[in-house]
Amino acid sequence: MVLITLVSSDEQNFPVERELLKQSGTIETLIVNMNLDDEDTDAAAMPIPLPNVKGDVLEKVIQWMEHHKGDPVKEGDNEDNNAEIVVPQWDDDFFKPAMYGSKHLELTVAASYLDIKNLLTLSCKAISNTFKGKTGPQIREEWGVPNEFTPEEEEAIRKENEWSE
Amino acid sequence: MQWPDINQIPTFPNDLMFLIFNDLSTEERIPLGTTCKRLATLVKGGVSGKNIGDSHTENRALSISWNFAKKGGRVRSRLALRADTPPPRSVCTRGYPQTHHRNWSHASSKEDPAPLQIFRLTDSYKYVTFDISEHIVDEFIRSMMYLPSVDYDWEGDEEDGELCYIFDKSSRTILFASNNDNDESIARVTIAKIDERNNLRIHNDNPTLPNDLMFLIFNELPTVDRIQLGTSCKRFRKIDFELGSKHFERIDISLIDFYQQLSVVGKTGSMEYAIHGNITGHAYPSRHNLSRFRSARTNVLNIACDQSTRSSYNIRDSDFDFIAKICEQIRFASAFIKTNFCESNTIEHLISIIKRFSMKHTQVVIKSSAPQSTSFLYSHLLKQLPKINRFRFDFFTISKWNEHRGIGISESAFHHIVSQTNHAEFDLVQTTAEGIQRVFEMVRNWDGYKFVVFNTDWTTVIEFIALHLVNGTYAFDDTRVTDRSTRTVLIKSDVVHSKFIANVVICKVDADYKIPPLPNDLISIAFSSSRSTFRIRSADFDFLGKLVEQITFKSLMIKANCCDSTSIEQLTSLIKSCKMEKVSFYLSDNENTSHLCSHLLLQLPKLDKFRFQFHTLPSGQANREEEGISESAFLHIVSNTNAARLDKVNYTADGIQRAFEMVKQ
Repeated sequence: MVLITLVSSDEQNFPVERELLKQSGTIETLIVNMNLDDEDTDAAAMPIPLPNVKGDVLEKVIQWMEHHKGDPVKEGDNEDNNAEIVVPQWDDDFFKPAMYGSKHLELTVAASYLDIKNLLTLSCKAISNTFKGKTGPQIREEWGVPNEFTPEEEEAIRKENEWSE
Repeated sequence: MQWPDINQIPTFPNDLMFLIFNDLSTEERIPLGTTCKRLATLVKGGVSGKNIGDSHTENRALSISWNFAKKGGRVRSRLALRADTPPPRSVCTRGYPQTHHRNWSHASSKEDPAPLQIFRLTDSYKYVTFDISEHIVDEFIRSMMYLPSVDYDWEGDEEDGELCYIFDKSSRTILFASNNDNDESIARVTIAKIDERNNLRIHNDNPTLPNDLMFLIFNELPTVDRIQLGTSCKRFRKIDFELGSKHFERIDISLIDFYQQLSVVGKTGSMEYAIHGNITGHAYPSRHNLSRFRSARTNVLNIACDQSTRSSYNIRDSDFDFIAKICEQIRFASAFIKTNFCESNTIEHLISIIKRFSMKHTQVVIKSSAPQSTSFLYSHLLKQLPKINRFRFDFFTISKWNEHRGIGISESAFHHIVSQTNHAEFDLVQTTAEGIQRVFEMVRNWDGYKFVVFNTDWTTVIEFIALHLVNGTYAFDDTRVTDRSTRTVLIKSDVVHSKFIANVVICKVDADYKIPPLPNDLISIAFSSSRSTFRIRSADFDFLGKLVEQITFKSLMIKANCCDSTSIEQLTSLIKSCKMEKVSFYLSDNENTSHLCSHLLLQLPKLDKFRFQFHTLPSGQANREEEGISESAFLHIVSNTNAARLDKVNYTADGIQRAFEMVKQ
């Protein structure tokens, strides 16, 4: 089993099975460019630095990839297909502890950076699910978003959206 | 307990920092400006001479520290009152900062101790971080730490720096303080709310997600939830507008000059998302208004353009321009355009709207209630249409078929539409035998599905048939011309009540020479009569019944201007042999025959949707009071359909009650 070492922004090393990394478009490109798949190359001696991902986030990403090992990798960006996706129970549980926290968002940003389409889709879906059925003030409350609107602006927005109340 | 990163202070928004600085005197702002570059920049702003409280006591400093969270208002005045209350206890024995053991004014009320009010800062801001004189914090903490609703703890030592927190369980607010690395006399304080999951709600991480990820998240949400999200903060609002792509079940655009009304209404569920205005200028193509329907998707787009001859008001160019810009942004499955425009300039405007449609895979139905004499204008309109999957054109007025010469869609428009669509239906077409031949060739040479149905001069169709009879090119029987090599057929049928017009279907048939099922098809049957010599024949209905039986369809639309008992009986037998989901009747007569129509409705099978409209023609002598469907027919329809729309019903209160109960169940 070929192991490839990923290095997080805080210098933590994560040896990861080569097969798992096929889910990440970014890492896959790096592996190809660095010829790490060549038999002559000592993959273990050539760690892949990921300066945009912190250690704890990378650990979560690897945990997710391990669970989804062998899943078909999503190709391209088809928004219409996303509409039908339901977040599976395991993933829901995976995101839940970090929900409403910066960890979940960091995980989403990392999924985008590492180009792991399935993780990105599910993560965005999980975030959007937290918004469903909530009013603007409730969203502000849950996500700690400061209210930037003046009372006049709020009144104007309220009138504009009366139909959805 | 999750500790927030003290370095997050630079992420605190500038506008809030300005508010804080605004309430500090110049003297107090200078030390703050030394803490970091960002604060130094802020200090260079305006200077406030505000001084609150007693300047000779430490209470003054406390007043200031509270006020800079929120300028003016209740917080400040309450704090001023509390400042003189006597101290209940002194000295904290351990914990940060341990250096100042002074008395501190305690609460005057057990329920609402004065120091707790500092937590009210979070009523305005979820997260506040500021530097303040260490001894003020010390006093504050000591006054709070023994309150029953407060948890208190600390960690660290004097060398490495100390960190302490107090947590008010009732308001779920935490205050934590640490030493400032540069100046020991200054403490850095953060106050924040903690949610029920024990996460600090100080993170503004969500708004800092890059826009492309926010677009992904917004894209996952239904329209209603997206609008709510858009009201939570300015950035989300902007993203919501920029992304557009809202999904509606239906969008109705109406431009009705008689009422001087212009509106765009998106409907999703039971809700409406609307731009209402009137023609005098309330609805205009502002960036905001246009953004509301940007990249919107809808199943049905309805456009109603009505120009009343009674109105002196002319629809303005800018109104058309507004509608065109809205339509340009909308993706739809079906568009229904109803208009009575009969002037070349208004039709030109309609063309400008239609040309902007993105409708390669859509269905477009145009219904005009303008006189058919304006058909040359509509021919011009049709020639501008781009590729469409399915197309239908109707003149709503059907009483002039006996005077059809010179009216109907032009041959060039007819050919253009047939070449641009897979499925085309026309009311009346002016064409020649060569013109029909060309259409037949188009269908014959087309690899996929192509279906054309139209009405035209009966003699022209006979001429076409004769042409092939002579040449022997294709097989021929009474009503069909068939090209066996490609299984292309032309089926001719008479139009009931008009001996001058023939109905023609040109399409490819299946192996059994039957017309293949038409996807989502609408069958339209029209009867027109002058009520003179020609009476409806059973043979006509038999033929029609046999033709309809061959076709699978979902919707049936019947338009008729004669509703005598024989016609109604024949129509009833025809309908009973059909299987469809939706039926629409548009009936009219010189006399009030709605009682006969009631009989017809009683025979209807189960349907998903039903529509009935009956009106007595102006020349008739009918008593309009008696016009309307009988109550039994009404209840039959209500019990057998999921959605029913009836024009006028002769009902009783009991009948309404029964209908209500049916819907309720």
